[in-house]
Amino acid sequence: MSNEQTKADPSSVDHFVQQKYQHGFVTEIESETVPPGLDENVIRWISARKEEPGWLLEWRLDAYRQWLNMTPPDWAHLEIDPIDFQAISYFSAPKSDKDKPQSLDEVDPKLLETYDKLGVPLHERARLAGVAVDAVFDSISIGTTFRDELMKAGVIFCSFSEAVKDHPELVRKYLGTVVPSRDNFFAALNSAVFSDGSFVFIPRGVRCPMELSTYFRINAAETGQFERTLIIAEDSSYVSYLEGCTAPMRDENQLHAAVVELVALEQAEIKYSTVQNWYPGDENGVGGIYNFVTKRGDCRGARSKISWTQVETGSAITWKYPSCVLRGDHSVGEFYSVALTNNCQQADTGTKMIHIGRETRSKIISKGISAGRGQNAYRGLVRVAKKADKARNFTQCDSMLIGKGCGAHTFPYIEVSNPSAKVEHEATTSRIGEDQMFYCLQRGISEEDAVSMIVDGFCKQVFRELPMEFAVEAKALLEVRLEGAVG
Amino acid sequence: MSNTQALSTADKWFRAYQALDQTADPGWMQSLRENAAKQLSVNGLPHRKIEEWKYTPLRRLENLELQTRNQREIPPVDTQFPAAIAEPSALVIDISDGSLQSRQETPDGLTINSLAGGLGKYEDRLRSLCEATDLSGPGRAFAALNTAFLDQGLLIHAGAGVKAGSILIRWAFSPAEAARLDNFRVFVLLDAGAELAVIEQFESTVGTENALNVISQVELGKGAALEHVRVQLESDRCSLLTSTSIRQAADSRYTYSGFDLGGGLVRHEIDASLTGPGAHAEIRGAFVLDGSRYVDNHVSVDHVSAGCTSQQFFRGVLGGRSRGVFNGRALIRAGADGSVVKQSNANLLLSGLAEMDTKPELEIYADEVEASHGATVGQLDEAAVFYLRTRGLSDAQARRMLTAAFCHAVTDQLENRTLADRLSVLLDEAMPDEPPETGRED
Repeated sequence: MSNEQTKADPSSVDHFVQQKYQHGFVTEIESETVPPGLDENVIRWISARKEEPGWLLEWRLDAYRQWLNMTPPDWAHLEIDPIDFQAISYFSAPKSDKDKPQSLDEVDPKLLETYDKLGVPLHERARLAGVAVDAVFDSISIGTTFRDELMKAGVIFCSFSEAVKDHPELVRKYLGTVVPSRDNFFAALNSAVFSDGSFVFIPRGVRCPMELSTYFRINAAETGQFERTLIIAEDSSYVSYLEGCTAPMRDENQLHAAVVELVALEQAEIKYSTVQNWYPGDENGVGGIYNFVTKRGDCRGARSKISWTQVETGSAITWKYPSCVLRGDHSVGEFYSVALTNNCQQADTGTKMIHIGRETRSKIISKGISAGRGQNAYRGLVRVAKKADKARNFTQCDSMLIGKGCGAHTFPYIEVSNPSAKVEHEATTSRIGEDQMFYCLQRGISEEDAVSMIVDGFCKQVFRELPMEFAVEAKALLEVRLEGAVG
Repeated sequence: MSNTQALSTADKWFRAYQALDQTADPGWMQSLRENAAKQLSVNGLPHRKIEEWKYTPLRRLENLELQTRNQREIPPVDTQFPAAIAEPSALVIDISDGSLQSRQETPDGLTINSLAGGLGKYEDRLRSLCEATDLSGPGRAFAALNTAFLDQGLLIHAGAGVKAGSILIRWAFSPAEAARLDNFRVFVLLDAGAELAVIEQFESTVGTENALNVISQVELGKGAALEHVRVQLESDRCSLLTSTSIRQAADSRYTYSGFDLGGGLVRHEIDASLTGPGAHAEIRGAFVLDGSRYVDNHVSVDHVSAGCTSQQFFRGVLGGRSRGVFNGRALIRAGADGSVVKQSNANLLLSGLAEMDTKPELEIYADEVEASHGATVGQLDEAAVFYLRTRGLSDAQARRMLTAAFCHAVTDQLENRTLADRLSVLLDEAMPDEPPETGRED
């Protein structure tokens, strides 16, 4: 091995860090898009086009009116150019939507080709992987598999629009009960203009026979995407839900403001996993998705459990705090996160664990990796209410810095007002040490493999929580984004 | 305090500023005050929506009157100062109602003066320190208030290489009918290689509802060392808003040990800036709260240069309906390689009505650093309680002993052992009597 190879050469760092976004392409499909701008008429148009009932239109309009009086949050450790909300188009659907394809054969081949490029296991692969996919292209669902098998189990898994039509009573009962429309600026915006998303209902005592998965994809230029996901797990049920996304390369910033609501009733368990790989912008910070997400789970029933696992590698801006409201006694909340920022990416992400019930437990494992000029912040809140006797929290948030220009930040809020609570928080910040690299290199391990191995080890606690296919994808993603990035 | 109330209180104070007679003061001071008063008037007081002040209940300050210069001309009488906590060799400086009462002869190389007295020789240094105070935004309202009423102050200066021993500053209020808010400023300047210990004792014998707003500014030259101890035993009707900012040159050392055992509304901001390589800041404190006391320690350490180290270490015991806040921040700027940062905050909640809010923040822009932090809120180890009970102690005795030992982790770090022993006794006495309501075996 030559001397050059054994050293962490800065030029090779640049080379690897500058790897291009693999999924950067735009599928040319005619889209039906409303002109940019937002007012009550746009909301009425969206609602009418989706043939929604009156109460939902009213709910949207109410959210819109609240949104008008709100200001975008500025407390996050993010530098964001002001967003012109009137320059965004609030609805976009593939044109063939009116006559919805009944099977995948009828689906626009160009769409299928897009999914193929992304490796979405929509048909054969889906069956092999045992995954039911509710694929969202831009803002509307185009195909769902395994519906029959799920139906047999009594599980409802469909697009949000379909749920509004077929199960209005369920939607009306739960919509906005976890994330109220006035919750925050972006949740209000989403409530006003949400396009589509997924709806899952697991009836009492049912263990969902397969992992449910939705692939999101942003396609039409300058179109905000406003997903709304609602998952309800009735007493003693279980579901594991997978969410993954990629987006094509472009120069315009795209706004994404999703809302995810989870409801776990008595002894129910919901496991929600995300791999987020949206277009992060180029190496100069041009373009990239703005990702403002409100995700919250409500452990309403006793002994219920909600577990969030996320691997955040994409987006120019990530503003996301999947939270658990531990209302039921003995309920459990978990949050496992790997967040990676490279080039000019910025992430302000973390969780909130609100302990209300007795003997509630929560665990937070957060791993932040910063490279290039990336800024990565963990922001978390652990609150123990007066009545949450014997609540227990453990938080560990570790940061890894790769390179001189990046930043890693930790803002944990701990608010305890019960004397029997035990709350622990610990955090470390480190870098890939020269000694670690040297050790690997002198054992004949290449630089890329060494970094990949060290990062993989750093993230292991989180990857372990992901379903198998996701874990593989997540690991590969990190490798692509970080190979050889030694500081 | 709501937004509108905050504005009206600030307005009231602004009017008091306008009544101030400034004709005898230098021009820069007048314009500094004017700017500060404008900031105060425009921004108002902090409120719950201001992140840095979200926990601080400022309502009790609303009705306080400001002491302006005319009232100051009558020296406060009958102020009872507590027995000195420091060793007899320490120089004693008494400050009553925000004005300097007495000072003793000082050894060579050490200067102690009032702000007015220091203006001649030290005017440029004092001016640049005053002008460097951040007054922008509602979060800095009390700094603006202090600057708008900049009048009374204390200057301590130790020349290069002077080993200046220790100084005890005793703060107290005189008995007065109306509740007041006093402003005061302290400047501590240590030239290269100088060493000094400053012990502050806050203890009034009167239970008047008073407030004190003190800004301390510390400048440490190359290799200088300041040991700063604060013992706070105020009555629970008293409010203390204090801030200490420290600028540290290369290889300087700042050690702070704070003991908050009293006070109604107490907020102390410590802001250390490690501007020279190799500077070290060690900031630790213990607070023992009962009743409805509120104690907030806001610590920020800014690592500007390479090779600096800092430690934050706080222990809190909360009983009654008290509320404690710890906000520790460490900022490591780009280029501050080789920085080592340790933050630790552990708290014991003894009562179901007490609350602890803690936020240890790290903000890191350099990659060759070692940073870690930990925060806990919990109870005593039941196994340790059991062990002591097997040795014949009652449950209450065992818990008291363990709770006290938990706080002694701070006194144990003091270099001045005589003072540490006294503080340990004070800590033991301050332990709330109430046993925990849950988790008891018997």
